[in-house]
Amino acid sequence: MKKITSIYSLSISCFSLLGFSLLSFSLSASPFKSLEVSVENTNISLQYDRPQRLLQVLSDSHQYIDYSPYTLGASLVIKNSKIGFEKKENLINKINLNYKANDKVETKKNLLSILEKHNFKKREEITLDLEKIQLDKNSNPIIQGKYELMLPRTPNYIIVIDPSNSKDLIKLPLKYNYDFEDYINFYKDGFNIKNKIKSEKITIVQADKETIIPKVSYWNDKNYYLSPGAFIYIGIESSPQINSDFIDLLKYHVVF
Amino acid sequence: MFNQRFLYLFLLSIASSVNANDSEALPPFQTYKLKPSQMDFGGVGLMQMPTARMSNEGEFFFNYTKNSEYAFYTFSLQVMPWLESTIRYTEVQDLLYSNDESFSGDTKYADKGIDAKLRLIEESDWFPETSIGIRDIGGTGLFDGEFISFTKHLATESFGQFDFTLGLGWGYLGQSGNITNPFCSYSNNYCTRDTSFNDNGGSIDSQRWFKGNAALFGGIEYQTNYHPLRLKVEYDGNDYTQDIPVTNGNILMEQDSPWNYGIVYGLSDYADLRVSYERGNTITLGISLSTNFNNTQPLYKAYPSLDKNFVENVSTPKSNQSINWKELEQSLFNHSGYDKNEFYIQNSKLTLLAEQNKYRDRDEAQDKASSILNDYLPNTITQFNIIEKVNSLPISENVIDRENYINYQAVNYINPKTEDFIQQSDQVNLPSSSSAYQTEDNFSYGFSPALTQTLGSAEDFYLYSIGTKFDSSYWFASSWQLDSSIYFNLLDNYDKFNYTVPDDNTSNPRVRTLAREYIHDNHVYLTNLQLSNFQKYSHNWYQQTYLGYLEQMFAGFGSELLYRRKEANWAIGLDWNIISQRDPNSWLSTYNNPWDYSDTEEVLSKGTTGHMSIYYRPEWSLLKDTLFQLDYGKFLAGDVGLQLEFSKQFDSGIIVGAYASKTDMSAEEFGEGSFTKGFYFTVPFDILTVKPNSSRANFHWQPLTRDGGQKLNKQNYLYEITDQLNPWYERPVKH
Repeated sequence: MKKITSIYSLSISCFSLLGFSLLSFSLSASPFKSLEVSVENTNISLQYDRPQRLLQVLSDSHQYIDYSPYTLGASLVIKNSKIGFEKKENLINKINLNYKANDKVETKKNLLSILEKHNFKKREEITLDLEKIQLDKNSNPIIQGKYELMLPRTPNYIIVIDPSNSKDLIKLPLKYNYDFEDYINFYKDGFNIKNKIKSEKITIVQADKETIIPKVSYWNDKNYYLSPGAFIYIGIESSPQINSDFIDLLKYHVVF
Repeated sequence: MFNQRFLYLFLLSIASSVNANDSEALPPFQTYKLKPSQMDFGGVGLMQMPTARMSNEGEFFFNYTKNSEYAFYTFSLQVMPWLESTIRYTEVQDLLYSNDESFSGDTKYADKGIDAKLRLIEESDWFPETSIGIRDIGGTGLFDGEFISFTKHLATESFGQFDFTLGLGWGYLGQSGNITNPFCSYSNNYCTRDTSFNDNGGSIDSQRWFKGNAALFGGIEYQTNYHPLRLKVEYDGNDYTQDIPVTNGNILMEQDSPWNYGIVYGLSDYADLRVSYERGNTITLGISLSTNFNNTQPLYKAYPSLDKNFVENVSTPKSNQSINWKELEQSLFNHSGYDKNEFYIQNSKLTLLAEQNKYRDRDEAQDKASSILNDYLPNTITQFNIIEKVNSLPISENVIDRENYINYQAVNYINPKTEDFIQQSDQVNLPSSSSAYQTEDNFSYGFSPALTQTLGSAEDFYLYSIGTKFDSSYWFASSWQLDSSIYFNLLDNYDKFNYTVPDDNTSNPRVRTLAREYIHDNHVYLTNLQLSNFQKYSHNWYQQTYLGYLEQMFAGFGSELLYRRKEANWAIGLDWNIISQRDPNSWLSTYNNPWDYSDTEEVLSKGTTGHMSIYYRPEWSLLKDTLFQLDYGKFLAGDVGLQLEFSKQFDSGIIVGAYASKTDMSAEEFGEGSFTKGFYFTVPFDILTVKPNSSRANFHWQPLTRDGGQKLNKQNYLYEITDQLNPWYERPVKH
């Protein structure tokens, strides 16, 4: 059985239209039920007395959004999991401890700035594509516990992270037919980047968190295309370990 | 359904043509990748000259190439990412096999050759792919040559893709001598090349490598923007003055131009037509068919409808007494491949002791078996132990937690996996109680096809024998088996096989060279009738003992012992046999004395043979998925020495292997070929048939069969029987 709670409002009146059987209303501070799913950006919290199939939860959630969500970027985030936070803290400590004196201080500051501005959360590694879930029973597990469900709109940008040159995430608008190299050139030209960007330092993290190390050279003919919301991480020179940890942390980045 | 599909295709084609008119609207695609093509001699290359390029691992080619001088039949396999091997049969168009027409008729001069190419350096941004290769390693020197070549790729957005090759060749590949052999300045030994071959042929003639004439060669392979079309041009390092039609047949092979030009047209992803204009005067035609041993998938997995989901409609019994054992056993056999089932119940645990005959992937079998056991067993049973036996020997045990299985099967949590409910036991714990139920069927039988073939003989290029085998087996105690095999020879052309014993003046016991008598002269023959006993001692020792007609040519008594630990990548074994050669003219007799066959040809009336064997599967990435077997001991003809066998398993489960024996029998005593060597590949049946099947089809090729370095062909091998300790022959498909 499902109970729906508006976080900011006590009254919801149209459940019968949505085909649900409503048991009770409650505030967000209500006692924990078997399954509680907060749908991001809707102020809606779905509460169930019993564990539910993912398909049921997703179908219910879709009732509260008036757009087609971007499934590659959708995430089912485990509420109260500290793993993302701990990973971020570990990386901050590592940067503070291991950053070499002869490296640019600015790069270190930029790294820390980027990290501090963002939260990283533990997400379940499962597809949230309704059609796939309907077709494959293994993609439709029973879930229980407390979750946040991120059902973003399709972003119209990709993100460049370049700690050597910037303390912020840089959003580049999606460009038709642009591949990864086009975006790099666009970024260099648009932000007047003078220093050489070494292709071997670059990692792509697609919106579904697939990690790609592009092999780029004049001789190579392989094009790499980016999904909306993908990251291009331009690694720092001095520490492959920090780069590796940073890329790992990007898998915990769930906000678009 | 057909109409719907047709309509869909029709709409799709309209949509495609609309899009095609507006190139700006096309979504971005990867450019078509240049797929390196095969050369005339087989293997990746231009036309006559090789490149440094390698195919994808597991790529297998069959090529046929013909021009006015030669016809090449070649098989080329990319064994490892860094190793390409090619086997080639050549027919020389204008030369006969021998001048004795009564012996070889109009059979053309034939030659066998093996090539190998090793990649030394993988292509990087600024360095070309670099490979070194040997052509005709163990042949009689018709095309022997060596090369080092460098290949660099260039991709353009508008003009297609190019592979530029520059190489240095010796021997056949450097016959034009357009440069001085660079090694000649180092030592005079490298200035001339001895064209004779070692021993009686078939040996590796490394003494002439990189010697004599040397020449630069090179060329370009060009992938045009019209995807099926590739163009090639090459500068030839050979001048054709020493080709065999010239030297042995007084036939002119003039070279009007060192530039050769070729076209490769891709009929599909798996077939290329090749046409080239070589030497300025010769048209060469060829076709290449290919597949990839890594990518081949079992058909029942590629088309899941072939392995239909089964739905058991059973009401769960309330107690052990109401279990329907017969239905349970039948269902396990039909759906999960478990046969010769024995069931034991101890409190809340059910143990199934059974053979697996259907699924290579044991997780798949256990998943299905769990479903069936869950349906047929009362809820008081909470644990299933599945012990797999082979030839009565218990090999492996897996423990299944019923509740975990139910949660897995119902997808009660995120990302359920088989390891959530299946746990491997470190060792097998046989149940101590008597069985609750067991299959009564101790007798089994079946027919199987059999093909014996010889390629490139003097009498005919292809000698074959097609037959069928009737196999039967009876277990009359838990570890005693009586099994037999009768071979029916249905069709063969071994009557063309002129000699009964080799005419190379060897005087070894004819342990393997009486092939004609055993194959052609017997249309029905008892190839095997033996009594076997199988034992397991402690946890890691296995033994088989056998007595009877052990194989087509030998009878006797023997035993094999194997030490093998679970998950270990090595094992050690020992076998010893007392044998007597069978009389091909009788089903049951053996030769009583060495001169029973003839006054001049000795047979093995009484003898011993046996080997110590070491099995090793390297865990280095360079030798990924390989198995080495080293045997030392006494071979059938009494010669003592080593046999080394190497095999590589591809992701699909196809195994390709080669072996060679080197014993104290000299090359002169051995005869043509100098030592025993052979090749084989085995293909899992489930990639050939539409149903799951854990058996294999075996193809074996021994270019020349002689009597030295030959082993007894036992019916069972303990390393195969114990395969599940660390699966090799029944390893699941890698994805």
